Amino acid sequence: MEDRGIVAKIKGKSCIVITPDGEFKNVPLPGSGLTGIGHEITFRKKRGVPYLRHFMVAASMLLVFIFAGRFYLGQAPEASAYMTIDINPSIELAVASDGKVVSGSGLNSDGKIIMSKIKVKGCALPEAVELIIEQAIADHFLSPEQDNVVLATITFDNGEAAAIDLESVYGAIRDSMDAGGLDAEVIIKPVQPEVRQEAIKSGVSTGRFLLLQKSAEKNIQFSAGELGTMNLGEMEREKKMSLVNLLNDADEEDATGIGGEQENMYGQRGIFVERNNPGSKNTPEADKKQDKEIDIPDNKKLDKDNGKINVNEHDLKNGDEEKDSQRDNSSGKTKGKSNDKDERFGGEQGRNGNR
Amino acid sequence: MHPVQVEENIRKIKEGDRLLREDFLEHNKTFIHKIACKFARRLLEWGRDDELAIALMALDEAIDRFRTDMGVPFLAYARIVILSRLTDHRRRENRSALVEVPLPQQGDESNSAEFSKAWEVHLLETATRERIEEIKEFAELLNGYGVSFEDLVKCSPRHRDTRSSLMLAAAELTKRENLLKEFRVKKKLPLLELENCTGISRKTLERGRKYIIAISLLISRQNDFLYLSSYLRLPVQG
Repeated sequence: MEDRGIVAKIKGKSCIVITPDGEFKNVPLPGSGLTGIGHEITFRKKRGVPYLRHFMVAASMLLVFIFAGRFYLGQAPEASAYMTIDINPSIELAVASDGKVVSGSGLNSDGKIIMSKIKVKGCALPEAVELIIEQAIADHFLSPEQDNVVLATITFDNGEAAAIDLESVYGAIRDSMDAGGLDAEVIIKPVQPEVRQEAIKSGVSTGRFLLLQKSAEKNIQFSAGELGTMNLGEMEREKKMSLVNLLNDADEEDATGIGGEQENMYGQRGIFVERNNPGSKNTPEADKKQDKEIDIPDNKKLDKDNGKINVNEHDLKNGDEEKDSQRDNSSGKTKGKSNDKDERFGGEQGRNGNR
Repeated sequence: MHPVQVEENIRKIKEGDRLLREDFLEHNKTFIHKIACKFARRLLEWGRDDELAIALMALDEAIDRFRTDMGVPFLAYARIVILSRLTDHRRRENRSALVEVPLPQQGDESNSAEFSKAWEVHLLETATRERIEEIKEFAELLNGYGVSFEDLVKCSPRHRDTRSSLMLAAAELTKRENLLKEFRVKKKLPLLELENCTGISRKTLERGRKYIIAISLLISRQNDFLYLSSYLRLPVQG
């Protein structure tokens, strides 16, 4: 904007002008022509923000920081897989494609407590898992007195299965459990990324979300609150079910049984290991070791009287061919067993049924 | 009379408003008197001294000659014409050849283009010189009130509304004889009275104190500051 004014005073390179609006202004002397007091000059009207220059400086600095930050973040490896661990504390670890933990966070308050005490960033995944389990033991989230359940899920971002070696994770959990003199039900289950997304939406860990899904399929009632906060061992006892069974899907005809006495290894399907402590309610008859229960037979699933299905120690030495006959066998046995326990659980079953 | 009003009146008179012309001439008699006295360096009296009659005729002539595109306010222009005519008169009386550019007589416009050109140059030179003098005088006057142009730069309100309300306060001050007198004697603004009669808050008045001083001096002595007061869009004085 051009403005004009009469020069009232000249000092150095600037002059004071009086504008027709009655404003007195200090403006730079026009470079061209002779200007003296009393002359009318035109000058550029200052417009806009008074501290524009400062804002510009601040803005450009901000830009530099943003770009620098981006560049820096670009260096950090991106997570290619996510692992959640549920004991009662729920923890999620983001794992890069090189198997290193990129970040770890607690998904509930107990999980946050654990994560505040240990540092997993940059560790290899098994190491990180070991640290978490050890801390959980130290904080009595896992203890010999209770039914310990460790539920882990692994989500692969884009089918990069190679990033996480399930066995080494299982090994890590087992090692630290052994070191603490504990036994636990260990479940490691790969899940689809969609499941994780869903879980994030509903605000629980992937493992617990999976549990919710499966239990809904099997008509076991949970409240979301219960699911979020309850210790898995307690939950198992209360609902009279085995997480191993719950999560070990019934649709695995192609399951290839490998592994030792107490392990079912299903390759990418997951690892499901029962607890082995004799004090537990799930204690199987010792001499029936060959009994194997992987799948819940259809008739059992539908049998409302059998809300609780016990799973014995698994022995996968038997081939798949024997599966059918064994299934008949074991179902019979399971039935018998659950009948034994009917007195104990009858009340609750009734309640469940009424619901 | 307000400079803007003056120019508006001139336009009307040029359009043929006889009554207004008479009125205007009558109204500016004090203005003429002042100029003539200053020129003659003695107190002149209406009806006794030729100078006043010549000056009045010169003012009438100035009305006819005045053009807004000259960039000189009317009263300043009129003053130059009046002084020019008075000089002519003196030269005729004294027969002494003063080196002044004579103003071409009305009626012989055809005289020579050169002549009127010279007059134009003279007019602009005079106007420039007067303007410079005026500003210097204004600066001195302000100095007497402890105000400098630098102060005015600092305290002149950025906002147009604030500026016009301070101008109104200054106009209010010049309207009241007693306040103006008090102001001139004490060289201090009667802020309390101003607050009462304008309704502008004390804080605003206080902040624009120096600005009000400058503007009210300009308004109250606008016949001395013809250029400045016509340049500024001062509020119309009631």
